[in-house]
Formats: sequence, structure tokens, C-alpha cells
Amino acid sequence: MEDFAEFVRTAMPGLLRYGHALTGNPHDGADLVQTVLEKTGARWSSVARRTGDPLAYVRRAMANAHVSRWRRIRRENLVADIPETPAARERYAFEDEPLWDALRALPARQRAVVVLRFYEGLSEAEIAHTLGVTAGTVKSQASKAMTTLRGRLAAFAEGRAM
Amino acid sequence: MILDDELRRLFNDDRLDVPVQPGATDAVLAGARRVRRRRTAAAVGGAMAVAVVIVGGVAFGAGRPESMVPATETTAPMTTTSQVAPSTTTAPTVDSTTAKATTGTAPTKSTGTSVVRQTGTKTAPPPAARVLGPDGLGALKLGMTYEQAMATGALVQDDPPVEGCGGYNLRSHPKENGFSVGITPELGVAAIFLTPQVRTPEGIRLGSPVEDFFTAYPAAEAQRDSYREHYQIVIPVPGNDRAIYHLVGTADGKVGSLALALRDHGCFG
Repeated sequence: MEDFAEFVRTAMPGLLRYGHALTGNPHDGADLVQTVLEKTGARWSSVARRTGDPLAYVRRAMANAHVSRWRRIRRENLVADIPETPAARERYAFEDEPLWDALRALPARQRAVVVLRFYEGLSEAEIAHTLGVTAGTVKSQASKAMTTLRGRLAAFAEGRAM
Repeated sequence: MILDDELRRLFNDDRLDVPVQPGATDAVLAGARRVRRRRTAAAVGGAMAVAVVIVGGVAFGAGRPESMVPATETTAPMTTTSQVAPSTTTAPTVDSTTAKATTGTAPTKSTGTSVVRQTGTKTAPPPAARVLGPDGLGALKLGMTYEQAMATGALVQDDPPVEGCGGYNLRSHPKENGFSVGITPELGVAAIFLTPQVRTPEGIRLGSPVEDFFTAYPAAEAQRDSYREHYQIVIPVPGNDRAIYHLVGTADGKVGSLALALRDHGCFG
């Protein structure tokens, strides 16, 4: 377990950053980091022994957990017509950053694809392996995401409300 | 691409940093113990992880002390899984530096961390092997040197990896994504991914229900809970103790990606 503690200490700043990028929100990102790390820690010896690269394992788990959580929340909300508002929109560092806002508004999977590509620098195939989808899906999701982002940025530039 | 650059810039931004709360590690360790206790105790059912706070009451906004983050106790709802997602395919090869934290460069196709090569050669392909494991894919064996691997004719001809894990195409499967085989200078052929035409000796294919994997590989059973959470299973390959199967499942419970790899392959996470 000492080994795991060291891993957590070392990996935490990077993972929190990554979680922030992945979820678009530092609170959700921290939740994600914590939950995934706790589950990882509960089987640390197995994870460390089997995977060879626990950090990559954790990051992949975070990406998947995030996408799944989003789907679950969406499904649970189907009975009520609640507009999708970013929860707890406290002012923070990225407020008024058009690209950040546009990213936050993307569906979780598309966002994950964008983050894995531009934050992690993964290729399409690596992203596909990370998310457990086909390379074709990654391609189409990335394309959709980029189109949406461009459109929102253009709209913003023209002074139209996003 | 301007948008590409903007995205890289944004993801490199210091504002993404989230301060770590003192005691964060202890909180995670305590949480991990809780999760383990619950796993041991709970018969069935999704474990609900009650998270303790790891992020301090610190402003996320650089220079914006007013945006304090309240210390909250949160319930993290990420255990149950029953979603829909497309299944099948994927054969990536990543070099061992994939786990880096942040980077300004982000290769989208064939540069940087993932060494990907696609060379279109038009030779009549040898009959494609159909079974992945326990020691390779047909004539292509784990541990073969680059030269030996190329000599099998199973791969699209390409340059040897200089450093890390180079990604190669199978002739039988050249188009999908070009990452079906990983070769490193140290280990030689270190990873081979399942492609649509191929199955394991036990009959597992891309798109097979993960449940079938549990049935086919009893060693996987011990990771059932872990799979539910992380969509990954890594087991020793029956009949080859130098190798592992690394499965990544789709959200709807199918085999999304499966690699036969040497232990310590360094080709993917």
C-alpha cells in the first residue's frame, strides 16, 4: 500500500489537471480522480502487477468512467425536462473563455475524444483502445466535435450568443 | 489548423491546474480501504463510493481568490454500468511515454508519441492467420525480432522502431487503423491486436460478449468487479506464461479491443 501512496502522491497533480480537462469542471474532475483512484487502490497489487503502467490504466479508467457517468445522468433525467445547465457555474478561471465553454457544451464522449487527442496527444487508434470504441467512431466523434467547436467559435466571433 | 493549436494551448494552460489538498493521499488510501472492505462484504450490487474531499478550499482561478471551492462531501456515482456504445475493433500501439501528463504536441495521425507507419505495398497477401494466441498470430510470434517479423510476410513492410513501440499493419488488415502489431527494439513483437477476422483459440472475437470472455478464461473471473469499474481485464495467456491478454470492453459489454502482448510490452497502457 506504501507503493500506492507514492503513486497517488506523484500522480495526483497531473490527474487532477486531466480530470479538470476531461470533465470541464474542477469539482467533477476531482470526484472522478478520487473515485477511480480509490477503486484502483483497492486492487493496487493486481493493477500494478498486471498492467505495467498504472498511470495509463487510471487515465483510461477515468475517461471511461466519465463517459459512463454522463450517460447515466442523462438517462436518469429523461423523466423530467430539465434544461442542461452546467451545474454550479461559479466564476472560475476559464469563465469567459469561448473555447472552454464550447468544449464544456460537447457531449462527454466527444469531449473525451478531444481531450485524449489534444491533451494526451493520443492517436485515433489509441483513443479507440482507451474508450473501447472503433477507430471509425473516434473519427466521426472527433469530426463532429471539431465542427461544433468551430461553429460555436465562429458564432462567438460574430457576436452572436453561444 | 488553428483550432488544433487553440486546443493544445488551452490544454497547456496553467489554469487547468487544480490544487491538491494536503491529506489528499490519505483520503484516497482511506477510500481505497473502504472500497475493499465493501467489496469483501458486499455480496452483489454496485459499490457506492463515498468520496472524501481531496481538493482543498483553494481558488482554481489564478488570481481569483473569490472563487473559493467549498469543501464538499460528495457521492461519486460511477459504479453501475449499463450504457450503450458501439463495439468492435481497434488496434493501437502506444509507446511507453503515453502516460505523460501534459504536452504541447498532440499528434493526430503519425507523429510524436505513437510511432505509426503506413506504407502501402501491393503484394498478394499470404493466407491470413485467424487465431490470436497463445504465442502469436499464425507465423507471426511474440518476441520475434523486427526482421523475423517482416520475414513472415504477415506485416506491411516498414521501418524498424527506433525507440519505444512502433505500430505496424497486418497485411490482412491494413486499412482499419494501422496499429495491429507493436514491435519494440528490446522485445521485438510485443503486442498483437485482435482484428475483425481473427479470434482467440477459445473463440473470442471483437464484439463478443465480455461474458463469453469470462467463460472462456476462468482467470478473468477474479477481475469481474474490477472490469465493471474499469472496462479492462488483464489475464495470463493459457499456455504462454510470458504473455497476457489485455481486454478493453465497450460500455455495452462487448469486446472492444483485445491484445495479446508480452508482459511489460510497453506498447499501450
